[in-house]
Amino acid sequence: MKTPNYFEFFSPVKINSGEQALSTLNYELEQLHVSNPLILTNQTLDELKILDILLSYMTKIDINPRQIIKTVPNQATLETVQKASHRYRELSCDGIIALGGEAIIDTAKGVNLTISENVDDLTKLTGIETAHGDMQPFIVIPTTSGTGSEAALSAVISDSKGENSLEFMSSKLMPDLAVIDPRMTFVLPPRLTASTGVDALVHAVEAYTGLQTNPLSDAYSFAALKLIGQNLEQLVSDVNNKKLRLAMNNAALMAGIAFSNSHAGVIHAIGDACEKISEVSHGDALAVLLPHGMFYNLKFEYCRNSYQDILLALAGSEKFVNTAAEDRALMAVDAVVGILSELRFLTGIPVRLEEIGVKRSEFNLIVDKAMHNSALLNSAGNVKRSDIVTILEAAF
Amino acid sequence: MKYLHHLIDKFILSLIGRSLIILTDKDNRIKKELSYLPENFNTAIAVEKNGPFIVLKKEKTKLKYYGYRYSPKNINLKLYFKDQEFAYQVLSARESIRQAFSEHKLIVEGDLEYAVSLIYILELVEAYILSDQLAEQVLAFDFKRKISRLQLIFKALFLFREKGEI
Repeated sequence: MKTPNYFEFFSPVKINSGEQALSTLNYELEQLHVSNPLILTNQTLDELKILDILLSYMTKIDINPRQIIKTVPNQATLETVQKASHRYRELSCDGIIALGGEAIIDTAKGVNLTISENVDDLTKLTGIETAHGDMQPFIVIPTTSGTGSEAALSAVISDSKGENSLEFMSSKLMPDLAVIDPRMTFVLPPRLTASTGVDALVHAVEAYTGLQTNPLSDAYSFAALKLIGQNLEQLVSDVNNKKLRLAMNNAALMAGIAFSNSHAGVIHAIGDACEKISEVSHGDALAVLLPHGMFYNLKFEYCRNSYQDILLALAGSEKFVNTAAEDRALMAVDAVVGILSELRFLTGIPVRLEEIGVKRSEFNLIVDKAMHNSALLNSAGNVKRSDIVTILEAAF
Repeated sequence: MKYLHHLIDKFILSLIGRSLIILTDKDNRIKKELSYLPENFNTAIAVEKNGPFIVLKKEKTKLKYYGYRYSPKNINLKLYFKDQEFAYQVLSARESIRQAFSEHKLIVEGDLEYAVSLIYILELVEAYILSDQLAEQVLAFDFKRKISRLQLIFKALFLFREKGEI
């Protein structure tokens, strides 16, 4: 384990996780002094009755239908944030509840920033630690396990033209409460369960090997990797299993806490670039790039040391003990490849970039984009353009 | 000691800002990163939030140096450290700027992609100012100078500073 000379770790989110976690909602709303919340969600979650489940647990407050915004798109946009903020002010709301995946959570973070900083133009707050005001009470109920957004200090919101992604990173963006209830993610099909699980796996692996890796984030990463190693493949074969679902929800949450503090790295940077340039799925790109990114990191001694822990977490103590110390890092990559292969067999997740629609002619643009992703600065070594090309070629 | 560090920070930051202008014409890697920034892009860099900022402006593919300003207006990207001791660690080459960024010691107000560009540029400028051995540590690869250290510092110290509004 690498011991840093200095590190910061921040994780103030209260986590209520378990089969009856939603039952605590009335109590928590009272604790946060919220009686008039704005609820952000989307049409699909309404149609699947997920919203109804949430409302059935908010019995001590009256919810006016106008307090529920069901039209949050699949990508957080400035326009949605502005409309939701306007509604928040109009109805004199006193708290925000985000029910959904990353886009809804990021939209809610944008609303919280707009209201708390009392701004109309959110673009003025892009960057790192630009918020200074007291934030509104903020509750997140994730419906997809993988993103870790419920515990992350970042939000990505598209500008009004949809051309640029505005990035916000601030400890103020963290919610007060995350409610992890397996009933809210039951509807995920096997393919999506696999994809979001890989997202959590990437978060945990990269948090373990970034420049800001530290003993606290390592503890979260290790616990997340252990849960992923023990539960992901089983869950994909049995998506309605409550215990497996809860385990993966917790894994995603812990991986989110880890990468929120230690940051992502080269795999995420290239994955994000593929998503933006080739318009491919984030989860698919990460699934393809993960083993190649890990293989690239093997050249750094501290990554090799960290990967030994990853082998222990993913494959268990017997495999760890039976593997020679000098081979453990490589075997950790092999363990990850094993998980991905099994998921491919079960759900058909991709293994090559070409398969998901990335074109070789786009490599230059992808490299440019990846080189300017802040995650790259946190990656091991000083990643160069040629390194990214090597990873892309290997994954193509 | 803290006051001495503050003076050193200010001097080196000013040297970095001035050197950057000189190097814009000399180093293709810096030119390439600059091309990533939009036209009339204003950048301000400081040791700490309340300290004076050195202000740089991109105009027609060139950079202009506006010297130190307190609370500069019309800035697209601001970079400063949480504390001047963190700045000292970076400016005295005890720690790389990307390590400081990873450790949350650097505050960024503005677009993060442009901030990454600026960090690459600052790494290169720092490498030019440092000895070859230290430069290789900063950049982690073979570094070929396009101008000698002495020439660069001499030119930077006598650089014309732009006046007027940004």
